[in-house]
Amino acid sequence: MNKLKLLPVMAYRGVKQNKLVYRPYLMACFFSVFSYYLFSSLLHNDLMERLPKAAYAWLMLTLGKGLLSIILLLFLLYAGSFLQKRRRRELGLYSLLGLERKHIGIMLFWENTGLYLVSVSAGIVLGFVLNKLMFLLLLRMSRLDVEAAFYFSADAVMETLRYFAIVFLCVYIKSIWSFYRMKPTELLAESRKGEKELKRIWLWTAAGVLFLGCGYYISVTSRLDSMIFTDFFLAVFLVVLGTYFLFTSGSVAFLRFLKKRKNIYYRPSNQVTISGMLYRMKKNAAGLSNICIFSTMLLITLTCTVTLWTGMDQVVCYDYPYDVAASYSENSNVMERAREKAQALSEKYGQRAARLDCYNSMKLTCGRQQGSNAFTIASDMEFADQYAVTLITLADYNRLEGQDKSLEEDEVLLYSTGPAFGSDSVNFMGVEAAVKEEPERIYPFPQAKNRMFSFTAQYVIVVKDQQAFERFVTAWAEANGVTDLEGFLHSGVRHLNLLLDGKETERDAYIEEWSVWCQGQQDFLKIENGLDGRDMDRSMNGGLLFIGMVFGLLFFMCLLLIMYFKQVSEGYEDQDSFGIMRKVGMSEAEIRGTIRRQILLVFFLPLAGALLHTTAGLVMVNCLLAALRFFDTGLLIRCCAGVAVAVAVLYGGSYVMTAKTYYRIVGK
Amino acid sequence: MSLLTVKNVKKIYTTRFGAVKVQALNDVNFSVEEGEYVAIMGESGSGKTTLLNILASLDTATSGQVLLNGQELSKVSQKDLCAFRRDHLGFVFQDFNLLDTMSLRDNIFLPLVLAGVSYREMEERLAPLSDKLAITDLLDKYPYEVSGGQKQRAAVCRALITRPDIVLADEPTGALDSRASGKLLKLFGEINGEGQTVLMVTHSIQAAAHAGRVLFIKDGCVFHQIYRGERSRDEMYRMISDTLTVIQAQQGNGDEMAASGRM
Repeated sequence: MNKLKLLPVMAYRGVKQNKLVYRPYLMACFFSVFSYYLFSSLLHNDLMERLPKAAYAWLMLTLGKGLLSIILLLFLLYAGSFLQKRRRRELGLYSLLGLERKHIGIMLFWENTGLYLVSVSAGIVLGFVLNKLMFLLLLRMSRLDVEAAFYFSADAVMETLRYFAIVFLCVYIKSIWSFYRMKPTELLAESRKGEKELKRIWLWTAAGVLFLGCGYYISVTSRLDSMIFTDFFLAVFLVVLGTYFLFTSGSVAFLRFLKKRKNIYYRPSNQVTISGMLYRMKKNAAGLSNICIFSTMLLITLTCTVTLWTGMDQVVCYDYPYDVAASYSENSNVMERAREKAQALSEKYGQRAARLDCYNSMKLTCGRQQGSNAFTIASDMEFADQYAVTLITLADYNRLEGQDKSLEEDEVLLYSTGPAFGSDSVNFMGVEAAVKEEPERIYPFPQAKNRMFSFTAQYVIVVKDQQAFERFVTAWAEANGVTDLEGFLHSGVRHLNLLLDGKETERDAYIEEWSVWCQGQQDFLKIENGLDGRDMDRSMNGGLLFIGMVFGLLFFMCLLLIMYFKQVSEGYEDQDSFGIMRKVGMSEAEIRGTIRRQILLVFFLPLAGALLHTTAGLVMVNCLLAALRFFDTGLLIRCCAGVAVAVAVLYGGSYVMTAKTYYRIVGK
Repeated sequence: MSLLTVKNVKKIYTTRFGAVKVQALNDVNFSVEEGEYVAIMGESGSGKTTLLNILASLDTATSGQVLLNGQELSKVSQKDLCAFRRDHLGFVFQDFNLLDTMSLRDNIFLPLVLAGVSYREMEERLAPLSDKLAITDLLDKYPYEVSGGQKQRAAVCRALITRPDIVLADEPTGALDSRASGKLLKLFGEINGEGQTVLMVTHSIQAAAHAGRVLFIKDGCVFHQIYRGERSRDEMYRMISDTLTVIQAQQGNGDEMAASGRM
């Protein structure tokens, strides 16, 4: 047979003969292609452009894809190294039998090309099929009112083909490199040899601690500003690196420490476990950090998704506390008639008005230095130090909150939607007043305790009466150089806000009629429909939820596959060892104990690491969720705890499943 | 009383559906006295590995008895079997069976560790043995870093460190070159000289010539045995060689007989 024709045939036979390791590898490749294609096609789907406010989602997906491409590359290189090690002997034999290096290079090229073609085509086909399915399912779940029309995105296919061409090239170069470096005799001996001893552990440890520390630092000190996504990406990158270094050095150091303790090391099952793990520590650490990273991603993604899901009502009610918010000029007498109208409509539609609030307010922009008790001219301040200050009178406050408070002439109530004001006096543009109290809540101004956008934080100053109100407004007008003082004094707004409590079906008609009525009244300024606004919010968050679900699923599948792959490959590696141990007089029970211990240690270390990462990442998640107007840190923590338990259970399940595979292989 | 007694041992392998039965051992009888050095010889397929597996309690006989120190192996419960094997038997295999994940020292310690022996005692036991086997300098190396002969000496050390009643060696020189084989066989001789009972399965005449007694197995039976007595190794070598020639000659005209022996 022609030599050039022989090589691809040899490549094919090589894969077929080693199918025990090539099967999981091909599965890994196939799944990588599938997930990458899923991302790519999501990004290339013009549905993304039609999702309201999808810019954030698009950015997240883009970053996610960037991250995925790094992870998949590392993952496949790592998987490829398993194959390499198993095949070295065979390649060594070929070169002894007279195959030149060049020929082996060509053979490996054919092999990689074949694997590439098979996995890419299969992955894209499955990606295309499941992509459709997932889209349909998840659009429905997130109540998105988008028409689900699908098309085959040629761009996504091209991108996937290109990306995996690069990945397989890297794997190929790596295998060629490791092969070319060695002499045939070394290749023959190679497959039994352990990894080279890790030197300069402290360097690895220092690098790991440094990277991890920086990553954690970025996360913990993150604030919600324009840099948050870059910071997020950077933090993730650093944590990934740090995890890898620390898992490698940490585990080696730990195992060596144990090995030095003779009374610990020389115990049944310990000895076998420890030496077995030291034997392939680097590869083990790469596998462990992969598992750790994927668990972290799974945890974070699910936490975000679940939190957003449960907190959806809070989010939408933060933006729109009322079903209908109408505003009138200051002296409108709309209120008297509004009560009658509301009463009539309530009877007609069988609804109850949970709140019908009417109050006057004036919103003024002020500057405030952090920690100072003075509100000054906004234009002198940086953007971050500018706040909206709303003035209302005590009478309105008492009505809104059902209170019966009183104030002296120079006293105010000061309410903050963000962190407490924290001073018992306030200087408003030169007007001094004592802060009698900081109220807990004022309904139209929802709390956002951990707000990160300073400009979403507001202050509400409750003054004694109309005179005090005018004194404050005058001070602001003078400071800001308002010329028409008289006109300005009466530019406040009278709000008429309605919140209903009842069945949704009847509500829309009620709101419709009420809105028409509101707009027909004297001195009408504008009207805002909170129901519509909430729907807008829901659809945007729904879009994010759906992305979160896809990601969560993806990460879980990756995790499962990595675990499985690791177990299977190591099972084959350990098969001989356990055979020997049986002969030397290790009982079946002892062997099982050893395996259990080994797997347990190997498998729950990453989970512990993932929980730690998640804890640090929670600060950043909190910021990111604040961008979506979600401010309930307590709920976030509860959701995270719930998710952590669920993931631990899933993780445990995967562990049991993959451990069984390991037992089966080893038990042969 | 003999250390090891094998009485009427039969072993019949049955294929999965019971269609074909192969008689590997057919009424084997012999005994080994304490301090003896016995070699079992036979062609491949003669049943010698099956016999060794039964002696090692890795396999059970279809019928018959194996007594070690008066204890019948088939009566030892499955649960205790591993511990029994560990405490009473030492193994040396053709392919060494050393764990690549451990240094030679740890490989040697493994059975003791499994038996729960303290580190101090392990060290105490190892020191004289490793000197005798000339592997003291190699103890911290890994199996893939040393030669075949060195590996096998480490394996012998692992077999001896438990102070077994009997050392069972399965073709110990099979994977070694002649120089390393010679060295190893000399070692076995020395060990035996110190009172250690050794039972070795081999088809190498050179290896068998070191033994005090050679049993020949053919078609699942002990066919013949030679005692060394006062003979020199060369004489022993010749006698074994002659016996094998006789066996081979019988084989030539006895093929039908051999076939009928396997039901």
